[in-house]
Amino acid sequence: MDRSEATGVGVSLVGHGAVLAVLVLGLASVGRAPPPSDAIEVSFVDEVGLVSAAPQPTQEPPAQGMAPETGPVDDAPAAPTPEPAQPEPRPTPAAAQPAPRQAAPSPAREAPAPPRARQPAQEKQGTSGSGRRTQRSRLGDDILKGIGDDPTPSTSSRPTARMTGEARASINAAIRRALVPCERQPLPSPEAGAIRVDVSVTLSRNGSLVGAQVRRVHNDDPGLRAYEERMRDLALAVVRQCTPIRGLPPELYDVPRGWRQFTYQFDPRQTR
Amino acid sequence: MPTDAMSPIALFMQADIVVKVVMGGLLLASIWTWAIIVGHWLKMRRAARESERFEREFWKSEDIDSFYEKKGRGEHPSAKVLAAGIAEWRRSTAGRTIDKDGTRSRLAVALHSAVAAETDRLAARLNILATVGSVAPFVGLFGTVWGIMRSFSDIAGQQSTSLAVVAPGIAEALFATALGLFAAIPAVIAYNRFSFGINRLEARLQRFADGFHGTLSRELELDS
Repeated sequence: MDRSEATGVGVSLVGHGAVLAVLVLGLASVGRAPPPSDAIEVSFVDEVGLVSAAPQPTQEPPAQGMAPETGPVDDAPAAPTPEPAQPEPRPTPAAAQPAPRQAAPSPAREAPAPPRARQPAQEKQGTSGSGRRTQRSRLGDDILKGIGDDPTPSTSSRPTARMTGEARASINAAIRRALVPCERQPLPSPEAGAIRVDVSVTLSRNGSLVGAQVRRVHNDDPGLRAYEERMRDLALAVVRQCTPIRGLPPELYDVPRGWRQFTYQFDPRQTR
Repeated sequence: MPTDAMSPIALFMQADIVVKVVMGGLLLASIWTWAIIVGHWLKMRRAARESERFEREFWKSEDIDSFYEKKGRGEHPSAKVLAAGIAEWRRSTAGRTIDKDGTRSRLAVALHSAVAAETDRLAARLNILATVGSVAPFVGLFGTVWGIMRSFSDIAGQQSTSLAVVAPGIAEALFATALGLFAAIPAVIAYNRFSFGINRLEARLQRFADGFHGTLSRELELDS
């Protein structure tokens, strides 16, 4: 081995050492996972309001926003005889006015006033200049007619209790608290924890289980398909073992979105 | 998978023993390749420079014998060719009768074989570059195939096909192919480059030898 070969070996060793060092320092940071996002502060609240906090339902019926069509009037701006055509539609609203007012009891008192007040103004306008009249008439005279005119009361009676978002949340929390002790089921494999199972649960009024049925299995990994059956059974087992659920508000049992039937999601990742 | 699992050392440490041997061999091949590349480059550069200067001075000098005594002991190819020619000349002209044709052909053969010997000496390590360049990818591929086979047997063993089980094994297996290419690419480039350089140097030595042969054969005619 002469001098140039010895130099070659030296240079080669140093160069490989340098490449290795660069790779160790550089590639180590390539595969690094994105930094974890900031933790979200949560507070555990023991006291939950299980009574309805719904605002008083309003008794007022919704407005009937339908004004009669008065289209054909303005279609003839250059018509030679606008005057004779005018009186025709004019009486109609005037005649129609009294009928609903008689049918309407007290609540809509002030509503009929605007059409009344408008009537003379419109009449004046009609008599003053026919050319202007045709331009304006696109909005019917009685566009505001239906507003507040029809005080038909709502037929539905006021419910005794109503599910609000708040009550719903607290009932969900109560159900979850009741089921958590049974969620620590032995999984068939650590990866199977990624599978989530939706169970539709039906309870009786005293909180005992009437029926439980798997609605849907969430599984993104085709490799875990073999565990789905087992995870279904586990989810049903959770519901069976931890019912009856006590302490749910009975007045919210049978209302819409009440706790008679709800969907429970078995998610082992969240428990562990 | 830990965050630094992609570092080459971690990949090496996780690997199977067969893959480890493959990786180690490829790393050694790479080191050897680069040692040859650097050493050969230095040697060729020096040989070309010194031969050029030697030939320039040789053609300028008046007396071959005195030039040979003064500078002919060099280690570079041109000096070796000159020495071979002069040794043959001295042997052939030592006797009382000189066979001119025989001397000419012997000189030609001696110069030619000196050129070939010098070329061989310079090209001695190039075959290693050629070997590494053609074989290293296959060796790396072997390591990869072995590592992937092992990954699949892991899958079979754990009854789990999730990517987390397979990925580390495949990454370490592919690292073997990466090492093979890492060793092979410079070797192939250097081999082509150096064989071109050797051919050029050989052609130049051959021209020098032919010129020297012409000079000596003219001397033969003058002597008679």
